[in-house]
Amino acid sequence: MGLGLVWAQSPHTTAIAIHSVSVDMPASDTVFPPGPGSDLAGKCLICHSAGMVLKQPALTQAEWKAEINKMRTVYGAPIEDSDVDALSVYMSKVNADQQAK
Amino acid sequence: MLQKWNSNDISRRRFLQIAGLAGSIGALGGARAFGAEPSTFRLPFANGERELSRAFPQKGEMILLRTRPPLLETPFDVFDQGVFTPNNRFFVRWHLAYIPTQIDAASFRLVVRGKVGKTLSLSVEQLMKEFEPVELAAVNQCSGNSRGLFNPRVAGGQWANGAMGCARWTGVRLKDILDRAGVDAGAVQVRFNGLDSGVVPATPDFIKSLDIDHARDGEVMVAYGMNGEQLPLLNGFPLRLVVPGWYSTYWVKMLSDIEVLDKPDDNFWMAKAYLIPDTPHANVVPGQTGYKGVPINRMVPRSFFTNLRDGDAVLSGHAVQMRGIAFGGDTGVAKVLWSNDGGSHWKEAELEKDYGKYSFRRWHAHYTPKARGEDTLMVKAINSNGVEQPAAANWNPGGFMRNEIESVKVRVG
Repeated sequence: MGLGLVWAQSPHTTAIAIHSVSVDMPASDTVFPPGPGSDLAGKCLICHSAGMVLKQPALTQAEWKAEINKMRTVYGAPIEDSDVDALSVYMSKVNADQQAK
Repeated sequence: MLQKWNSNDISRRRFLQIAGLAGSIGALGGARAFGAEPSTFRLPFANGERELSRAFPQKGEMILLRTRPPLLETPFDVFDQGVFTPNNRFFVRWHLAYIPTQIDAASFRLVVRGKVGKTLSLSVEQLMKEFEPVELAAVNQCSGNSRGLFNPRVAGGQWANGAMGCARWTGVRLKDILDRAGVDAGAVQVRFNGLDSGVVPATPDFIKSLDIDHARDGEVMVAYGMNGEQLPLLNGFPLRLVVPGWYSTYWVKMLSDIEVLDKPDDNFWMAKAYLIPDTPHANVVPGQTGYKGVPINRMVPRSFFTNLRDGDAVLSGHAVQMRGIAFGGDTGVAKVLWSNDGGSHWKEAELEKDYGKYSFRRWHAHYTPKARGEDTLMVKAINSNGVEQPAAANWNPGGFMRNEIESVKVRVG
């Protein structure tokens, strides 16, 4: 890949060399705990790893519903209206189990 | 003379000892048996257990909050090591999961378009050669830094205090770029977009805007250098917007598109997300409704101890060195004050070298504990506009702009 080195320098700034970059991102090995609704939770992984969910503070089922609906309406999460209850029950349980950590 | 007998976060070694004692998990798999088990430690709030990860490209050991898209926090001891945060320890925060992992420095282009006289398509090389380079030390802090410490807790990225860093940014003035394009008379805002995007088509692209006068203030910068090197990919290679004194949400990474607008930007990330209550300290009562929300903007002053933590042991009759960092937010640090009696009396700390008003500023002081027991040490910054850190923490449902006075309890033996 092209450019190699370009230097920017003036009396007041640092010389910077710019090189093309190619990296690998790590895959997440965190999974949702098994239980009723874990299959629905799998859809969350389309856009983000499970850590985002598992690291949340204690949230009520109503708060989980609000989060799930935000994901659906704002970000386009492909979760059916009819699945919101079951998913929020699952999230509340998993979330409660996490709080001792 | 300083020994730790009970720290909130378990050091890597201590965790490994504990894991070893627990024993039986070690039998589960080869990775653990060969000592490749990632170390964990605990942030000081419920559900604060975190893995320390070295798995991310161009990054050293970071606190893993989320793998995809990455949320990586800087371990706080890094801030004790110097005024500038090393690139490989600088915090990382992405909103959307599609992040290019290969960027060709020669073919990358920054486009400037919209309400301008002529559209530009600039290579990194052109930016470096055809514009005057500028350099600025500035703090980059997530709007939600310290969100995990909110009480009551709020949903979102559960950071402790390490979603911030200070770097020397090298780049060109946004003003110079806009001047070359020629901004139309009716321009009101400038919108910034990077190469990242959502996975689902409906996900709103992450784009942020600044008022035209702000964009042309001569301080806002398009940076290609960070602490004398190109930016790590996860911090925005090859170009990142630098908005001194403003929260990181505006510092668009992998900046590839600048659009001059003739009306205020009403996209999701400006109109719905990153809104703060339009109240002093962005503070409301939990459950409060009916207040106006405005886009988060200027930072507020903060200061921290970097060499002392809760539970550290000190000796009565022996001087204790205290040191840390402070920043003024949207202007410089005028004073850092410390207290060893829980805030009844304050004394001025010694400020170290000034790298400019948007930079971290290191401070130090010392005190001699008089009696055994517990001392509550506090530190607060006052910025050059006279703005002082508040004694009580603010609260808002977004978990934004925390800057209360920090305290550390040490045990005097």
